[in-house]
Amino acid sequence: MLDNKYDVVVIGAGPGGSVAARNVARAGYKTLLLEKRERIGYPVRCGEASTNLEDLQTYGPISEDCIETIINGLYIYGPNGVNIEVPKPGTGIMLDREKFDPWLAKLAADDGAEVVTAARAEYVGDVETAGNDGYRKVRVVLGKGNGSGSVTAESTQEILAKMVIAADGVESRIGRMVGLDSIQKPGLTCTGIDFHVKGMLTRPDYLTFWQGHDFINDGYIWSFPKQKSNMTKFGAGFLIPHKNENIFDVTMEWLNKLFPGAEIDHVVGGVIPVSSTLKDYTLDRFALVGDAAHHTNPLTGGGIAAAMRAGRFCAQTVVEGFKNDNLSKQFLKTYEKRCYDYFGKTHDFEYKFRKFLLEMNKEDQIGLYKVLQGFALSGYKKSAFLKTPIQTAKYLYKFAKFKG
Amino acid sequence: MKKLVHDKSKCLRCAGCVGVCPKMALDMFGLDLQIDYEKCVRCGLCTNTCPVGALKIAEVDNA
Ligand SMILES: Cc1cc2nc3c(=O)[nH]c(=O)nc-3n(C[C@H](O)[C@H](O)[C@H](O)COP(=O)(O)OP(=O)(O)OC[C@H]3O[C@@H](n4cnc5c(N)ncnc54)[C@H](O)[C@@H]3O)c2cc1C
Ligand code: SF4
Ligand code: SF4
Repeated sequence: MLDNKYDVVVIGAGPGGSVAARNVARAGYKTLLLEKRERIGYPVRCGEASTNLEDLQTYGPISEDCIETIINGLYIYGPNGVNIEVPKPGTGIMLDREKFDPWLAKLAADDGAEVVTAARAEYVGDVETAGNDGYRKVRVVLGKGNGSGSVTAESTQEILAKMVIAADGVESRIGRMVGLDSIQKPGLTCTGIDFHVKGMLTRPDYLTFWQGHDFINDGYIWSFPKQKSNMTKFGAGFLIPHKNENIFDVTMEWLNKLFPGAEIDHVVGGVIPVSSTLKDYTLDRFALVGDAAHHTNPLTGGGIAAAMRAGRFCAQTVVEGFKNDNLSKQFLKTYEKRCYDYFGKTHDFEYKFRKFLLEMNKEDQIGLYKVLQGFALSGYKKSAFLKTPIQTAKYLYKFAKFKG
Repeated sequence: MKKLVHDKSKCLRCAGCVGVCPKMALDMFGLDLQIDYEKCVRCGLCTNTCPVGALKIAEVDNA
């Protein structure tokens, strides 16, 4: 049984929701974290890599248990054999999200949040009662797990929340219920498949990518090493709708082409918002966090770090809102602003860059990769661009003219 | 009659289809996908999204 009233109800115990719940609970507010799956983090719907270790360690070091690999750089296979190496010693990580997500939720519980699994938020209502006594109704369906993740409904309960934070991931149903445009749209969403392959396929401390016309132009292929379990995550993301419907088969063909004889252990998959951040994702006593707010990086598809950072900004703003007796949409816009300044601006740029790359013909793409390769080889000195002034100017001009 | 059919044995439980359905006809309960046939308009967006082809719009008997 749940209580009838909470200060904050957080929906979804992914990285975004758990961080948000922990930070409001820490500040002393009565917090409920609802997760509809029976096992937090299972099944994994993610490549599990992050190059933003700093953002993941917002509370201090990540538990050793959750870490598979320390990542020292990126390697990108581009068109026509123009490859780019980006060394980034010690700044990245491969996680085991079956352990990481429950670990984050436990941190929230340790700091006082009530964490309930097999509990699905079915409905969130409009704000009732004006002023400081305002609340939203949340209808929760409490289930009973069967141990393998399936849940049968047992009871339904209605609770009152002064503030609702929906971190419900790509499903993004809660935002839509209260009138936000959080749906994952064609052309702005990637669908991905990720094979767990036995052994190390690529450099064991690097994230490896294949991108451009020689591979999957409207998407990319990746190979991420999980050292501890001696597995490589080989996967691909495709913009939907994709011309070839059978994404599984296309990815399998690439695996066989690049690594003949690769042995698959198991398969995961999922959908990635690549639209860049939603224009509007707060309402009176309501905010979206993480994939639900399309906080994912639209170029790389990485969303763990951004979801956690957004969870933190959201909690910070909500706590300030409680202190000022103001949880209005207008006040919560501060949260949107904090996200925009921290990662949103960069994501908007990367969104435009992704579309720019996508619409380029092969010849132009090769030229651009060469310019970027020179930049990488120079150790990221801006002066590297002076060696290729005409090409650089050409791409800068085209990019400036490009309407994303 | 055409109907959306879901192949549980292929399904990865990724919930991607839920996020793209414009009619909110899909939902995950635990790890089980639920289809609300009253809401589904057979637009095919979810079938294009599913990474493993677990959703198809197929001809089925009325029964
Ligand atoms: C194939 C693939 C590869 C990816 N690779 C990477 C990568 O390498 N690196 C990276 O950083 N990111 C990657 N991502 C993206 C990353 O997985 C997400 O950005 C991240 O998980 C977002 O976190 P979140 O907290 O917003 O949502 P999620 O982690 O999706 O959590 C949402 C939670 O809410 C729960 N929920 C939903 N609705 C309800 C409800 N009504 N009631 C209760 N609970 C609910 C869900 O069950 C889920 O547990 C990848 C994604 C995919 C699909
Ligand atoms: S066919 Fe269209 S309406 Fe029906 S479930 Fe799929 S996305 Fe929703
Ligand atoms: S998109 Fe496909 S694999 Fe994912 S939950 Fe839906 S039916 Fe299952």
